[in-house]
Amino acid sequence: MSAGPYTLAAAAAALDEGATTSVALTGQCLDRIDQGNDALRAFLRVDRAAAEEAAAAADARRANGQPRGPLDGVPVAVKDNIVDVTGPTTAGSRILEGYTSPFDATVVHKLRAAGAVVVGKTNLDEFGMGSSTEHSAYGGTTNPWDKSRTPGGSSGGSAAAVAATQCYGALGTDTGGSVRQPAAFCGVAGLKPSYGRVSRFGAVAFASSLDQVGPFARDVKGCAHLLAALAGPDGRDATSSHAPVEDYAAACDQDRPLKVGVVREYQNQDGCDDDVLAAQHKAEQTLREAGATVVEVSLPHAHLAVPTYYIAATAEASSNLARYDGVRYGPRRGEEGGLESLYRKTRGELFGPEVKRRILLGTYVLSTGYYDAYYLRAQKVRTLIRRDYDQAFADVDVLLTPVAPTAAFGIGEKTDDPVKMYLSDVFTIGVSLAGVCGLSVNVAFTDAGLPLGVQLVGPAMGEASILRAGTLVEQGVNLLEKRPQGT
Amino acid sequence: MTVTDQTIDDLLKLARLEVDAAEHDRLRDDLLRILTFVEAISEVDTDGVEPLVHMTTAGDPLRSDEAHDVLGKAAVQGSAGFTGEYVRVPQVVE
Repeated sequence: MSAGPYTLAAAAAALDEGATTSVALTGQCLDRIDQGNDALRAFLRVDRAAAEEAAAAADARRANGQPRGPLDGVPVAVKDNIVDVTGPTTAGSRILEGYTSPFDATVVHKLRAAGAVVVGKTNLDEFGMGSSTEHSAYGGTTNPWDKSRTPGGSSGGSAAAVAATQCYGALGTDTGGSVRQPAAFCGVAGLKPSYGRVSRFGAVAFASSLDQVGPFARDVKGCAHLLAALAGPDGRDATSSHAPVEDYAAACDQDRPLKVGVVREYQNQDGCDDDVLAAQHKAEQTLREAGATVVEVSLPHAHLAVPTYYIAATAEASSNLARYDGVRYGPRRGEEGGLESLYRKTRGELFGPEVKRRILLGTYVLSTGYYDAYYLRAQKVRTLIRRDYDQAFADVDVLLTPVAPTAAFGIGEKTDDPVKMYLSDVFTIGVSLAGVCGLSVNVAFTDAGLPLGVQLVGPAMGEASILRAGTLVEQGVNLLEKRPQGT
Repeated sequence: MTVTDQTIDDLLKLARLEVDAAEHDRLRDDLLRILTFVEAISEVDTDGVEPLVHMTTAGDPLRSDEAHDVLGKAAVQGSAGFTGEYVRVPQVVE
């Protein structure tokens, strides 16, 4: 066990009391990154000098009695598909190799305004497309609990970095489960906010109707503190919501009546491990013991979520990724053969196989003759899926579901079969399609010592409820002291 | 459901992607597998169901009508073809 505070809230409190300094905490995190990154590859970029400078500035603010932000001096990491001016943002792709944004994403600006110290940028599946971080063009991240396994994805670097105590919190993006599933695989907490809760300005677009930036931390309250810093409207993102931002950290501890729904359709899900269902039962029991009522609810179209997603998300991706044409960003190929050659060779050579697969699928479902049968129909099914969630939330406050059908899978286990990989997001994708919020909390370990999470799902802008339910589960199972070896 | 080599050629052209023969074949096989998988959505009755187009129900909020700084040339400074003034592209007019 490492010295010093373990959770983000404990780190913030220790800084506040003067029990430690940001220079010390940041130095510890940077040293752990240096020691661990060859094996873990959680970071694509480490900003030692900038982080040390920000840490010293945070310590000076405290020493001089200047105003301090809620995350003042706390070391955090940012997924490398969220732009910042400090250095290159690759989105895990060769097509953006060496590309540095001229502006900070709103969420990066907000982290800095809250006083957080950004230590670097984390690894991901290229453009967020994947469930294992194996589709990073810069080599995959490994799981801190078992180096032969993936950390999940696409925000695998952020999840692994938090689990391996290389930072106290991290930002990810979640389009179909890319925060929640890696959080579960790495035994940390991860939150996908409701659509519109957090600005997407400066988050590299994958599927604009689904993408959300979300926080990781070692515990639920850490996520709450980060969400509090991130949430709110942004004039640069017309889809950001003006709904009031609640006191999310306080919500974790506020007693509230909770009626919890377990989803009938998920009880016999194909390919779902017994361990995963046992973990869900454990969380259910914990919530009952904490006074919650648990009832069964139905999401009748749940089985259509993954197919719907792979039509809607790829259609949007094929459009969003059209901007990488070799002209506007980063490196280029094939210039000698003319403009058409420049487009085709830059994209053909610099996009990875999964990205090309999804662009092609998206192009197919949007093309003449297939649009109605695929894209338009998928949008209609999406309406049905959203109605399912609306109906469920008319009866219950939160839903309790698994996060993924298995614990962390082995490196290379699913890379040959895209559909198999896609199905690892079967429990998280519906939440994204409906635009509601979901929180992944660690509740158990397999016999082999791999973390198992559960997902708490709330209605749109219902983050306070899932943070409260997640806190109850976390306190009931009491596993925060269990950490990956070497941390 | 069929995905032919011609289908892949057409899609690659539309998407401005050039791939080698091995990747072409892999894309054809993968696309067939994925399209067969997503075919499940054709089973459900969607008559009279409106497509979900907007994620938010709050309408379109308008920002205040004030001038802000724009990025200008900085927006393309990361391009490999940026000359400091323009972005260089291959000749398009003979």
